[in-house]
Amino acid sequence: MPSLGQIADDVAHALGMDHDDAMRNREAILYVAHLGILKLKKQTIAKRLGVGDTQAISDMVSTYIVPVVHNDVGDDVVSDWDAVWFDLPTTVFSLDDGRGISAIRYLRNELPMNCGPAFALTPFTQTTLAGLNSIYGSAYQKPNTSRPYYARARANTLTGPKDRVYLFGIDQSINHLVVALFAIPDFTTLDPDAPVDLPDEMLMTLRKMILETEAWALQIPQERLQNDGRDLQPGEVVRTSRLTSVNDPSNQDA
Amino acid sequence: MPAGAAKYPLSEIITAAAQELRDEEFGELGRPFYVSAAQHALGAINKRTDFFKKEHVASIPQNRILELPGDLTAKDDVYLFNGDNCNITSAPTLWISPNKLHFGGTGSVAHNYGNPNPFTTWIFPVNFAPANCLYYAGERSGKLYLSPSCLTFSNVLFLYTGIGVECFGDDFDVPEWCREAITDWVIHRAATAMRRKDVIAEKNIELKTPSGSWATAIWDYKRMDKKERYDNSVYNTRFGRYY
Repeated sequence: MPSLGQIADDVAHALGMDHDDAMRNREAILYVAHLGILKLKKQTIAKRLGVGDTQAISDMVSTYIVPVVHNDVGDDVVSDWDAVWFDLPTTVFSLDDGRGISAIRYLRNELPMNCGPAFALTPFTQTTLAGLNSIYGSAYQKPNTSRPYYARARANTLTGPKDRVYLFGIDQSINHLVVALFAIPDFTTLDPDAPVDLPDEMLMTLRKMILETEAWALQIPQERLQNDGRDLQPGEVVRTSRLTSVNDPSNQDA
Repeated sequence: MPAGAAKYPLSEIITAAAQELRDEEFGELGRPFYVSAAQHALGAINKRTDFFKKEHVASIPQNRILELPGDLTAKDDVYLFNGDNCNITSAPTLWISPNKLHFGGTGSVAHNYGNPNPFTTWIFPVNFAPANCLYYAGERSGKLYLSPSCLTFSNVLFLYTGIGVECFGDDFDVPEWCREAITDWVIHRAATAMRRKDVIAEKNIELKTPSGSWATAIWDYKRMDKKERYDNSVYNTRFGRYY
């Protein structure tokens, strides 16, 4: 598995931009590489979830232990109802049916060995805040401790917006949960020495995506003095972004 | 009919259903959806078979208006008795008189006397009054309206069919004979929610054709088991004979 830096260097070399005063620098290419990885990961996950093949993407699931907050009166959005919540420890992919959160379970580290592991017990079911009304209307579906639910919402707090997960049906004594997420790789740090977080067979597609994006970046800005086309000489080619086939691997979204 | 004591926990049913739909994580609909669908299915097959047998004892109030059990879907038998236990040898049957209604006082309404005014309060002439040994009741909106003769007894025993589950809202077991039918129903319901037309078509065959799992389960429930067949054989060949 090559590192992110190796991919960036390879692209820079292919574009002839590996000299010191090149128009495209290594950091810019690293950033585009990161965008490409995100897109490919997202489309891989979405595709597999679409056909119910969760085993193929289980290596893209990250687990976290999160603290649960009960009855937070300082919450700016929901101060007038007994909210139980936790904030997502990282951003997650935006997937159909809210599948960015793969699973939530009670944290049960002290279970005897003959019991199933925490992930084998009591699944949390996803809903929405507005959907709670219909769920509470069904005796077999309304939340309780053995049938807990969660709903995501953006909470606007004094410290900024939070990607919050509200919990329903859980007991007051619950302080921690274990969650499994399809987490988006951290955007704030780009380590050139980090291995590319993709299956090897996708490197070709990633390289192609970076090359095309970088090549297009080198063509703009194209100075257009008039917007009616008269600024071009006869026969002058208008440079546009390269068209790719809908059958290109980079376009196989679902 | 083989009531059968074998049962499977609900998780057997919904796990099989979710796996067939490739929704093992219950990520698309959630586990409660599958549980709810299974309860619907059990209620529906109970309606076709009356398999969920229950008993209920109630005291007869002085106004002779008696609440039926809240989970009653069909009555098998109703007996009147005194004391703590229903002694069948001396417990008369309570007959149901259609449309009979009273309000706790004397007389009753019954739309079966040909009078154009259905709310006429009838006081029986002596010669036409029902015999005192005849116990009957009208049924209306979940209540029984007992005849005055029923006050001879203190209790009513209901043998009836419930809704398929003991406690509505809790997990339940599924009888062995309808396991496949319930699983197919759950898959069909989930596939409908997921708009999986291919699965819906497959399960329509199971649920709606004479050889499908639904009809087969009802057939299985209603056929005699081996002992019943032996008993019948003995009854038919030896009844009334000395040897």
